[in-house]
Amino acid sequence: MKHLNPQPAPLAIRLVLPGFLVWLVSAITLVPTPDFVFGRIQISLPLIYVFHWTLFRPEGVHWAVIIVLGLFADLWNEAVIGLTPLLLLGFQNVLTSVRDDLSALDFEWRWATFAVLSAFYFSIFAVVTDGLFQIGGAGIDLVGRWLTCTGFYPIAILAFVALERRVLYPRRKA
Amino acid sequence: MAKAARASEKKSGAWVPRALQTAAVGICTGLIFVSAASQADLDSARLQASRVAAPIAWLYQIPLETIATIIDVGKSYLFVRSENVALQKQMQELDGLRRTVEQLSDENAAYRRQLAAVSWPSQVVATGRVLSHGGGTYTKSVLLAAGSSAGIAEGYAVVSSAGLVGQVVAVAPLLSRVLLVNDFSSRVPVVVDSTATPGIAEGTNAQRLKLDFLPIDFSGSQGARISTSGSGGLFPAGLPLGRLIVEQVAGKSAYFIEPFADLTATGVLTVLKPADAALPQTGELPTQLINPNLNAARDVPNP
Repeated sequence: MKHLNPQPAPLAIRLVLPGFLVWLVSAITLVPTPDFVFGRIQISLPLIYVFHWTLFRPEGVHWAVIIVLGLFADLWNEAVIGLTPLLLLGFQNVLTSVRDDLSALDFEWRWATFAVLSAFYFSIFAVVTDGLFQIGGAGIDLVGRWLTCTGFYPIAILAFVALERRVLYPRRKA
Repeated sequence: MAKAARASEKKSGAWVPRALQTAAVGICTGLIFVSAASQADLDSARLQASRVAAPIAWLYQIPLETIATIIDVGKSYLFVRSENVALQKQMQELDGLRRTVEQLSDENAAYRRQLAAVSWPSQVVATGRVLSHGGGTYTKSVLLAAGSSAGIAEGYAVVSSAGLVGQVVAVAPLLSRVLLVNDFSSRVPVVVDSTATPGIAEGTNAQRLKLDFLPIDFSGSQGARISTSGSGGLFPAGLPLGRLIVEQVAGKSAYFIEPFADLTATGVLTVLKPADAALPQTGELPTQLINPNLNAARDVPNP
């Protein structure tokens, strides 16, 4: 029997599934880069995930999921362990405070805002890391990561929206 | 008012997730300091995290390698004529070189016989496929699909068909992490082959390495071959590392090394025992010298 007004997926699935899928896709950073790719494939998908979910489904992004995603990102990228989860949580707090204004914007403006906010995120990342390790050149790599992340944003959003509409919060067809 | 809110929160149990979140943030902050103080302490955690994702990495690798192969095939068809001309030219050059190599090889064998040279024992421990590139921004390392069960231990040198690639820094039963020579913390004792000048090759986190700790009067020639010196006993001597690059920086000569091995490539790597471990133990010293005349001379009792 078909439900006329489908119910959202159970809370546990809404909390875990997007995070798990993000974790799964993020594992691509571990793959040896083929010759046709210039440098490593580095998509900071957890950042896009936190941005999108905090704006549109804040109840679906849990701090524990953010911490797990951040810790794995640090372990895989061999960065300072614990830095990414802390920055992601800070990013989430900032977004929560401006959620109403940002979620009302058009996609293009949201994308531009994401570009600006992620630039701040990567700058803080670079400053803290360089301060702790004094590694020159890390900033250049982070510029690459920022560009990839911003460029990948529309594709990631398409995938997130599809996941939301088809699995997590199914809508009745008109 | 605030007191009442706190009491109500306490009663409802809403403080539990908040306390857990605070604890998690505290743990993350602590980890930052541990990580900053000693990267090595967290090596096993990194290895385990990579192990968890290794099967997924394999899944990604299949389509990526397929795409790379398709692109390679396309390229080879596009440039087939120019490549053919280049290859023919190269073959002519190599033909001349082959005769020289054969002559030198015969000469070398004759000298070895006359000098009763003892062959260096094989140092190969295992060969494994690169499973993933673990590093990135801060660390240059790869995960190798061979571990302690294949006899690999920490400190062993790792080579590709082109030359030295790095050193094993962490080992699990089926995996090992290899710190590449271009990693910021990598130091390899080397020698400039043409002048026998010793130095240290330092990683810079970029593709090429820095050649440091050279004699003050050193003046290396562009393109000179650099190989491991074997000092310290960690890396076997004579492993090719790269070519010397001389640059003028602020009026002074700065020396860099362009590694022979492509440190970003996929493929298979071979693990070698350290120089000391590969040396024959006292009981294993060869009893027969290569030159039979010298064997006979050795057996003559001393009057």
